[in-house]
Amino acid sequence: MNDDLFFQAANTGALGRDRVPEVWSVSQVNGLARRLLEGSLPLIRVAGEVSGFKRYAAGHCFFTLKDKKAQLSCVMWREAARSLPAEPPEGMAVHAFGYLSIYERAGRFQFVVRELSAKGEGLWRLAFERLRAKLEGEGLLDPARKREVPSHPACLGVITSLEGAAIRDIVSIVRRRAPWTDVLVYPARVQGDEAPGSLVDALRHATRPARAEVLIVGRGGGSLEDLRAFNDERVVRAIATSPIPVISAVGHEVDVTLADLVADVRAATPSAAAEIAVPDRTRLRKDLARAGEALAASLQASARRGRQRVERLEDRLVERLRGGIARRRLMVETLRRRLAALGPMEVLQRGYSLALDSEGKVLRGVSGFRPGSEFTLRLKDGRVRARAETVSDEA
Amino acid sequence: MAEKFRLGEALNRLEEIVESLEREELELEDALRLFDEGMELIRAAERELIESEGRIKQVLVDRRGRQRLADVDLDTDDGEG
Repeated sequence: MNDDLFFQAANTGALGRDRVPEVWSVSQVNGLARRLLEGSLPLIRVAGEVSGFKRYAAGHCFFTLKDKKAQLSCVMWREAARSLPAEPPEGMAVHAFGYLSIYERAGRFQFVVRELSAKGEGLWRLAFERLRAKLEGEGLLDPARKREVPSHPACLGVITSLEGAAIRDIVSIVRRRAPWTDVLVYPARVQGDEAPGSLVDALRHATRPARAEVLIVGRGGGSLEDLRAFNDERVVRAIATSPIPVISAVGHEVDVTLADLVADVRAATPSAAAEIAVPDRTRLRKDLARAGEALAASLQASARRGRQRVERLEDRLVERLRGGIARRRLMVETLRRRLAALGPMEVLQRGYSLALDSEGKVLRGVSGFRPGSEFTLRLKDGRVRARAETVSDEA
Repeated sequence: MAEKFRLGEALNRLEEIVESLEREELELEDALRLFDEGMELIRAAERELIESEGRIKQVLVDRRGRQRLADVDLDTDDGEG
């Protein structure tokens, strides 16, 4: 250690307040070494292969970076490790970005990693595949889980940023196709580190209480980097367990996100999602007109059936009546005969005779007779002209 | 706030009515009643399609988790303003 560096360290305060001690404590040495190391180099990027990656319960991660000749102990503190999409597998080639330091308690030289990245999208792809496999194992990607979205929602919920193009596209399409639909926007951040938490909150607010009948969750087109929130496990699970059907609209034709995979319907863009969510007014009006025609036709059919029934009843009634008339005729005939039996001809048949005056009226008592008056006797087989001799009311 | 007309429910009921009119041998009186109900639904639905305008609101949540609806200002080009 040359003097310049030593006094530089002393000036940073690594040695305590004012003087260089004659005898050093271990803590002082390690402290000095750490400060020297941390102060002497800028942040650097180190290429190597990951070995023995381990994440502890507190969230800190430890691993070793190796090349063919050497190895370097690495630590990723919890805050940095949080942004790690996946734990890198053994042997994965990575770039670690961070600074050199010393773990004072162990006197161990280590590289403190702020960011760890694999070539291209390596770690993200890995995280995606792992989470996908996990969700699949839980059955959350099962097509049978997918619900139908209501065809005529009275209220549509949209979870997206108020600043993005997505909400404008959606509102514009709802206004054109189904202007009666209520739209509730649950504002959420859709990119950056806060996006997953913000999306999960918005999903919770949208489902408790559930005002909307269907939800669109998404954002307009973005880079692959921008889609990360939609591959975040918390967001994906919130979508998968939403009590309201969800249409995903992440606006990226090429890359499917896990949000797309667990949503009930995947739309390629927010506009497409809106078209799925609400019906088209023009088509609805045609449907209504058709329904009106169907109603009228059915009513006519019903009336026709009614008329036919009435006709059938009429026929039966007439049949009954005809039967009735025949019976009545028979009855009338009988009655006529019985009446005839009571008629005068029958009396005559039985041997009686009737006395009739000159006008043919029946003479019912002696008052119709005068001595010497003429009358006619009607018998069963003819008539007799007669003259009264005497008239007496004695029987 | 007036009860919002629920188009989906109206259309479902309408479908039921058309089906029972087409399928069942109803008394003329019942058929007529269903027909009237159906026509009324169609009229109401058409009114909804033409006249009704839904709200567009954002849902704000305060620290206690209470929700409140607020206007949202979007410059959308919906050809009406």
